[in-house]
Order: sequence, then C-alpha cells, then structure tokens
Amino acid sequence: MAMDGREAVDGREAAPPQDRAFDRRSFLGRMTAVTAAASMGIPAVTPLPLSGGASRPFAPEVPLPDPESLRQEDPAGLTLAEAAVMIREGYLSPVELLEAYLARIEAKDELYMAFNTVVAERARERARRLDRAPWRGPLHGIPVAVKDNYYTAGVPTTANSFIFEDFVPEFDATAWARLREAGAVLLGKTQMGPLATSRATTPEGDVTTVNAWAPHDPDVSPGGSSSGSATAVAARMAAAGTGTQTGGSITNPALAQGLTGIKPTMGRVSLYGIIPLTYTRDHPGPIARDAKDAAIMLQAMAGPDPADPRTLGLPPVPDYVRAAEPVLRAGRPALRWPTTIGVPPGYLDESEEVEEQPGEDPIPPERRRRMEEARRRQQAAIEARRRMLTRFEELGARVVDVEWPDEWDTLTSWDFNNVRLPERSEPFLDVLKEDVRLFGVSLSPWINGLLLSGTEYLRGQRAKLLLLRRVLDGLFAHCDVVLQTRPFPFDMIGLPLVAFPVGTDGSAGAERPVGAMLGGLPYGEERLLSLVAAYQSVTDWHRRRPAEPGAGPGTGSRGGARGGEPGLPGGRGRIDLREVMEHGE
Amino acid sequence: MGHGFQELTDEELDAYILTRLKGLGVDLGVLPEDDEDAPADRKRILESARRFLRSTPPAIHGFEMDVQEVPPVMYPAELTGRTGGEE
Repeated sequence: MAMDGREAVDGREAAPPQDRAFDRRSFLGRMTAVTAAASMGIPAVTPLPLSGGASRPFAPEVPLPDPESLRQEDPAGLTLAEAAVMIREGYLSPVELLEAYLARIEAKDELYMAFNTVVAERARERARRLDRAPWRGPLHGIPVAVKDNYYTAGVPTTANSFIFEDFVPEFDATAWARLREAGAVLLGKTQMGPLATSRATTPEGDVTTVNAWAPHDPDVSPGGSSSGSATAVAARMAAAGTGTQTGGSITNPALAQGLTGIKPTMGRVSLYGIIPLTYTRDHPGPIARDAKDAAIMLQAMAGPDPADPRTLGLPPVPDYVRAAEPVLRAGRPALRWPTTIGVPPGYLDESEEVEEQPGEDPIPPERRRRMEEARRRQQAAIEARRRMLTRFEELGARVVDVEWPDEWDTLTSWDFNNVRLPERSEPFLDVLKEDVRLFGVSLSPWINGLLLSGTEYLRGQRAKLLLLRRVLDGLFAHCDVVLQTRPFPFDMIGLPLVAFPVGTDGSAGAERPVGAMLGGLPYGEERLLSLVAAYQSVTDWHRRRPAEPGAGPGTGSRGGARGGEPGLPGGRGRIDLREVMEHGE
Repeated sequence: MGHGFQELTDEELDAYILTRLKGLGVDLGVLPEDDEDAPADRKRILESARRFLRSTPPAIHGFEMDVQEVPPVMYPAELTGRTGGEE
C-alpha cells in the first residue's frame, strides 16, 4: 500500500473485472425474460427472511489518510469513507456524526426541502446503540437519506403521492435493510417526483426540492425524481443517499449536483419493497459524493434476494470498494484495468443541438432563455469532456471513436421509450379505477399506458432486446465502456451507468457542476467505479461543494404527501404535463 | 399510408380513448373539464393521450423484426431461484 492509501499494482495485473467474464447469452436471455415476465405479470412473491447480502460479512477495508488530519473537519463535510475511518479509529462517534447532520437539516432544509420526513429521535436512538456496538464496517453509524419509495418499517413511505399518503410499511425494502444491517442510520425519507416521475414536487405538482448549487432559483432543476436524496447529499445534510432510476433519476441528479451516482445492472440490487414504476427498468442505486462512497453503498445494497427473482442466478457480487481504490503503476496514478473508452458520435461536437422537447410553438421567451442557457452549459460541458478524456488518456485509457448500432435513433426514440408505460399502469389499475385524482399531477402517463395494445407492447419489448443485442455485439465490440449524454438507452436495457462531475459551467458567481456518464457492460459496476475513482484521484471536481446559501427568495414550508403545508409561500412554481411525461424518472 | 390513429379526428380519438377507459372501469369524468390550476384536467389528459396514440403505436408498428431473430422467451431467473441457482 502506498503512503497515501493508493494501491501499487506494479509488476502484477489486477484480477480481471467481472464485465468481461460474464456470459453474454445468459444476460440476453435474462433481459428477454424480464420482458416476458412483465408481459405476463410478475408472480406474487412471498416475503422471505433476508439472506445473502443482508447477513454476509461486510467489512471491506477503507485505507485513507491519517484520521488525525481529518479531525478538524466539520463531520458533515467528510465523505462517507472519511467518516468511516474516523468512526473506526475512535475520533468520531455515530452520535456526533448524526448530530452534525441533524443540525444542518434543522438549519437548512427549510430552504432545500430535500426531506419529506426526518426521523431525528429514532436516528438518535439508533446512533446511541451503534456507539456501544462493535464496528460493523464502513457504514457503521453513517447517516443516510432514503428516497421515499423505499419501504422503511414503521416510517411513512409515500412516494410523494396521494395513493400512499397514509402508508406505513411493516418491513424494510431489501436494499435499505442491507444498508441498515451494515450499520447505516436512517436520517429520513427524501422528497421525490410523485411516484418517481419528474423532479421532486408535491402530489399536486408544486416544486419542493431545489438544486443545492442554486437554492434560490427553483427553476434550476435538481435532477430527476431522486432529487431529494441528491440535494441532501450535495448540501451536506446526509453522508449518502439512495435513489431509483427508471429514466435517469440517479444519474441526472448526480450530474446536476456534482455527485457520483451509479445505476447498477438490472437485478444487481433487489427491488423488493420499492414502490414500482416500471418493472423492466426500475433500478435502485446509491447517490454519493465520490466513487469510493458510491462503492461502499453499492457493496451493501447489492446481492441476491429470494424475494426478487431478478436478482437470482447472477455472478457473485465483486469487491466494489476495492475496485474504487485508486492504484499506482510505476509510481503514477493509473487505471486498475486496461480499458478502452468509446466516444460516440457528437460527444465532442460543439454544434450539438440541445435536446428540445415537444412543446409550445412558438417557444415562449422564458423557455427560450433557458434553452440558450442550456446551450452555454452544453459548450462548457464539451470543454470539460475534452479535459476529462485527456485525463483518462494520461491514466492509461485507450480512447476510441465508436459508431452507434444500426437504427439507433429509432430504437432509442421517445416512442420506443414509451413502451414502458403499460408497466406502470398495470399494477395501479385498481387505483385508477378507484379515483384518477389520486395520481395528482402524474396521471397522464398512467392513462397513456392503458392505451397501448398488447401487440404494441410486445413488439416494443422485442425491439428493446434487439437494441440490447446490438449494443452488446456492436458497440461493446470496440470498447469496454462508452460515454453517454442521456440516461437511455442504458436504463432501457438494464446496463450499468455511472455519473460523476468533470467540471463546472463557469458561470461567474453562480457556478454549477457539469458531469459525464459512462455506460458499461452487464455487471460492469466494478470497472465503472474503478474508472471514476482513478479520474477522481487526479482531479478535484468531486471535492467541490456548493456554497452555503445566504438569505434569499424561494424559502417555503416543507411540502410532501403528508404534513407540512401544501401551499408553498416561496412560490417555487408548478411542473406541467410535459415535465411529467418527459423528464427524469 | 398513414397509421390508423393518425387518420382519426380528435373527436374520434377522444371517443376511442374514453371507450377504452370506460371498458377498464377508469373514469376521467371526476376531473375538471378545463382547469389549468388543477393538477390534471380532462382537456390536458385527452390532449396527451391523442399525441401519444398518434405517435407511439405508429412508430412501433412501423418497425418490423424477424420473429426468429428476436423471440420472446421465458424468464430463467424464477427457475434459477427454484432449482438451486445462486441465492
């Protein structure tokens, strides 16, 4: 081990990553099966006692600089890994760490509105018990923000929807149960788009959570539906958070708020106990401050779960924490594994059009202003992408241009993306029959899902499998990972995707992060985390934090599906139908 | 030749949509007819549904695949879980 904690790999090759060892045909069969299962209806599963990941030993090492050097830090400013070392070495207690976060929530969350529920007393009781307990591993005593669509036993779980307004689960979602058993402390449940559509709003559509980098401008999106978790982490109100991604809702908030978020391969993390949005596309995963923190979270969350057949029969969960430890080769920072990065068409094209969603014609002035701002950010992002690629080449990556597979534009179009909609309507049909008003602002896609015929659904799902086959056989024939600018199709076809910060937009006085996304092969999480960790070992974008907010407009009462005031005195605005239909899920 | 949904008028599509929903027992009649301050109203829901029907089904029907090349198959993971696969 090098003095700075980085692992030297001179003279030997690291064991190969899992993504090049998997059986491609097996994954294709599995994804086909997910499609078939969705079309037939997932059979009811009986909750079983947690096993596998929940009870397996979990104590990966977290080598870090001398804890003494971290003692003067605000505990809420530590990364998860840093806090873990401080707790392990006795420089910080779970209670002290928790109180640091609760103090920030108390002081700041009226502005950020990241939380739907804060369970302060419950968390204190838990932290006190952990203070006296043997160290369980890097999540011991770590305060975590959990998206409000994860079941949490005894704690309301609303998905910010009228439908679940009074729902208090009797058990934990498997992914949260594993974090809890690994020692994590539940801080609270985070704001989200109603039923995981759109940015975080009340069920009626009133904007709640703001971007931690622009808290006084509610028009700056905090990302997709996991934005409460992302804002909590970015604003140092939680050490890490959980999200779910159906159409970008882990990676988009991570990009928007300078965080590292990973959407794992379909099945890698159990969906049992998470309110469904789309069977074939829902993915739980972590939102964290850097690759190491994301790896620690994912290590606990991942693994087979008898209650979710999608998780069974997969390759064993590898050591993500080790994968996310930077390495030295010949004394210099290097990639853990030789890696070819694919650069798709248009990725560095400054004339690339900012994606315009269907909407009004002519375009209203305010929307035009935002589009122009988006173009400026796009240019800054492209400069950041160029610098990022240079860094990766310096780390030893091979960077190649790749072409999209045949019929890419068609197979990744909005219409083929819409094939997901019947999957959200079907489990909620009884609620739709009871009263469509229970869906609040989110109703439209649930109605549209009822209108797609079985033949259209099946053909769309077969097209998705064709796309997956072409991505695996075509795109990945030339590279190990590929850069992406949109969350789909990787979340359409179940492949892993990681988002991480690579620069800022350069706005004077109102700087906001810009990020990059890398898509990987099935079970490529360890390679993706290793790449981001290597990049973060030679850059500091992931260490930048949003400024502490001063007084300003836009404060208001906490909204949510219950409690608080439904009206928002700060007037953060209301999302429209277009945002529900077309933005991150 | 256009897809059938693209050739229907707004009125014909609305009738199709409302009939389909009624057949499922879903009633949009509880929504306000046209109220921009409401989270949802019949006008916006029907507009969205018409756009959806005029775009998505035609796009999907217009894409043809060899059924031998891309067949739907059964879900192996459920079997794996019941026959000694990794848990």
